[in-house]
Amino acid sequence: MSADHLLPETIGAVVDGELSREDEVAVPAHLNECHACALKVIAAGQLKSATSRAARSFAPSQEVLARLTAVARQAPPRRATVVPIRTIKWTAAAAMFVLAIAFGGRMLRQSETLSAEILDEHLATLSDAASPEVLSSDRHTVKPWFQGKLPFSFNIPEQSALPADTALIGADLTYVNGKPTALLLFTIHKHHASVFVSQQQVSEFVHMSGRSGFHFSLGRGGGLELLGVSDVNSAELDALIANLTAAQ
Amino acid sequence: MGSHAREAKEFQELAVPLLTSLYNHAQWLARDPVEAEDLVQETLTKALRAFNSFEPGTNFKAWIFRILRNTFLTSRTAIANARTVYLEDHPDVLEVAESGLTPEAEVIKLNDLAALRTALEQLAPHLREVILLCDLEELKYREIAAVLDVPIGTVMSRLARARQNLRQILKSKSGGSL
Repeated sequence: MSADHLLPETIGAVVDGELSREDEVAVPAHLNECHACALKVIAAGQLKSATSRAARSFAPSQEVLARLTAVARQAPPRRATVVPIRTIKWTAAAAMFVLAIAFGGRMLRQSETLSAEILDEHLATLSDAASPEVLSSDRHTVKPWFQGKLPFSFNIPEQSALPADTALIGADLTYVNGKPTALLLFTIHKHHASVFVSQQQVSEFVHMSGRSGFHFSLGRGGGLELLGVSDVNSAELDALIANLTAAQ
Repeated sequence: MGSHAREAKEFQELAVPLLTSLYNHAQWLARDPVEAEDLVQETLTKALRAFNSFEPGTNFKAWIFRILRNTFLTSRTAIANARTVYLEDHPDVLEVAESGLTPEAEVIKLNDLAALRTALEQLAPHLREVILLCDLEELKYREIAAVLDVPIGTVMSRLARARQNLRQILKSKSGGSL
């Protein structure tokens, strides 16, 4: 600090919350008495705030964000091999094989669209290597686990209120299109279904017609979007999504 | 879940929320959307490979922004600018000048975000970089110093210079009337 006024670096340190210990007392005392420096600090704070707003200039498109998210989700090099698949899930395995051929093994590299990203997420839940964070059929266990992890809340019906032969088996926190999303895992008969619960509207980016034997189903309620994916028949997946949507 | 699966999941939870920030910063660095996406993809790949060197409890954002910057420095765009000498890093040679703007006039001018963005574009890259890391990404001085691999004093002098230059550019845009 100069004898008369604060140096530009010191004014910057004030607005950045970076005053040194020796300045923590002297600088506020100076500001209490020096109108010119106090005005400079106010102006510097305004400049910092405006710079922050002006600098947030380049938002990635949905497709770019989906591609980057897919890269962030890549397994470490040692995991970039064919994942083990439970033998009882031969149907899913066959579908994975078809997908691997159809998309050139894209699910092990990058997804080019959000629907591929969601399908990848679902397929990942079918492997032994990726058990969910919450393994529970109790909604009273699953729902509280998300508290503090998501910027929204959602409801899960009681087991008895779910469609016939449908059960909640677990849940996980994931990211779809760069946004935090609740992933609810169900079984419908012997098929697995993933339901992505989020605040964003991703449906316009998803090919709802499904892919390679997998179906998508969409519900909206309570400000949330519920997107289901499974290889079970589409009517039963629709019934689950309708059931969950009605609970919001 | 195995250790590698946990590691991948932890990386995902830390990295995905930063993708928009990384992309924005990459585009400010590269000034090209395609190169920005390539930079972020390469950054993520490198960061994932080196994730076991990340120290839990430290700032992941500072860590991955450092990787982004180092990745950029090896790009063609950065190499083309590599010979630039920054006088601002030698305060004994160049002093920070007053902008001539009164603080009140600055506040009025800052309502024009488009003008401020243009001013940011006109800043020297090394000044723009430091002000983005501080004001937008809200990194601490010591974290910025680590990202840029410079002393904290250089961070402070560059910040002062960047802010002063922004004011001067805004003043020139207003025809010197402020």
